[in-house]
Amino acid sequence: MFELNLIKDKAKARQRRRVIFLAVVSILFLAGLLSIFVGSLFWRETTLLDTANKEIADVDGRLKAMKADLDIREPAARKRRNALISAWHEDVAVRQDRPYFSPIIRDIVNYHPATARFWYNSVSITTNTESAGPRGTGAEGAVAMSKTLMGTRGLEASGYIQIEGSDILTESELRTVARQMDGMRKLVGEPKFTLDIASEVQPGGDSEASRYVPFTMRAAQTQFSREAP
Amino acid sequence: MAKGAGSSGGDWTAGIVAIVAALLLGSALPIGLYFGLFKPKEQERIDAQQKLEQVKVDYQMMLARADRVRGLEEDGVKMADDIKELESPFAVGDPEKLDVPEVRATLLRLAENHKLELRPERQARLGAEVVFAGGERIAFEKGLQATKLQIEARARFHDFGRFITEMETLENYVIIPESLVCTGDANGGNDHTFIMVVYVIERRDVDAIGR
Repeated sequence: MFELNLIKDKAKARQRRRVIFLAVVSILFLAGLLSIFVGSLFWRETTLLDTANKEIADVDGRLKAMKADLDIREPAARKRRNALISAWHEDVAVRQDRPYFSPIIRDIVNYHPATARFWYNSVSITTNTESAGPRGTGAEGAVAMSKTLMGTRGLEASGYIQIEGSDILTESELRTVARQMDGMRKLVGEPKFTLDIASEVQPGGDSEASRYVPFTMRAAQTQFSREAP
Repeated sequence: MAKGAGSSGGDWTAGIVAIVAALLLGSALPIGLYFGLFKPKEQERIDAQQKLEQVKVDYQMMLARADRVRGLEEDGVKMADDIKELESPFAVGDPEKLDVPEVRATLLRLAENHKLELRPERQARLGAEVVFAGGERIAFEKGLQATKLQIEARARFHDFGRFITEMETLENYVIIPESLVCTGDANGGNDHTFIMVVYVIERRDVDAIGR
């Protein structure tokens, strides 16, 4: 009876060891499978990361090359466009503001006092084109100081007026004449006539007859009305 | 019987310990791999993809900037063409001689048409002409260049007036007078003296503007 029990115990122990062995092996097998699965996920992430890094390097390289190119091209293009616009405005101004002197000459010819004869001895029109800017440079070395195209203009004229009536009437007429000189007003400002009564000449010494009175006409140096932009 | 049962329980205990140990060791490996390798790599990949998106946005912005720059350059080309067309009536100067020969010839013809004569004091000079080069080239503030011409003549006021009017409205050239001094005939005659300085606007080197 004792021997039989011993045999049964041995069988049970074998059975137990088998169960334990199988359980441990199964656990390790599952652990291995899980580890392989995690490893495959890791590999996938590694591949994606490599792809992303390569793409970043590619786009970043193109970006840097383009930036370097544009950093040079953009200021140059902007500078050239602005300079061309400025030059274009300057050209337009030069053309549209013509003529500069002929309206003055025309006014001098056309407008006279109604009751007096009138002679100009001298007429002088000047333009102050000097600028405070830097000197121009030129290979020939004869380029003048930088000038403004539309400088201030001025006029000075002198002559004689034969007054037959009163001085007051003549002066009034001269003021009317000055107001009529549209071309002159635009280009050099409204002229002002000044009679030098003290220097008048009386032919034959007859103060009741006509008198020749020197006059001057001046227009202040004024800025041209449409200065180039 | 009690001894046999005790022995059997002790055997199971060792087995259970072995199973639990296998469970702990077996699960430690995948968990360690997951948190130790996979998670940091995943975070790295997410960061890289975010950076890639940002770089792509930057690249799109750079493409837009390139378009703007191309627009600026096209504007420049168009403006240059406009200026060339606008400046077609401007003279081509001779910087070496400080002269604009074509314009001077035109003005001399104009002077002849309007009966402008040489001033008496210049008549004796060899090769003297009513219109001559002023020997100066002017650089204006905004880039225009002009060559100075001088006109010295004796003429009737109306003739000179017509000369100026025609000169200032020439289609082919842009001539801007700088000064005019007109002195009446001292003998009371009709021939007066005119001294005039003009500058003739020259074409620019359009390709050099703003470069």
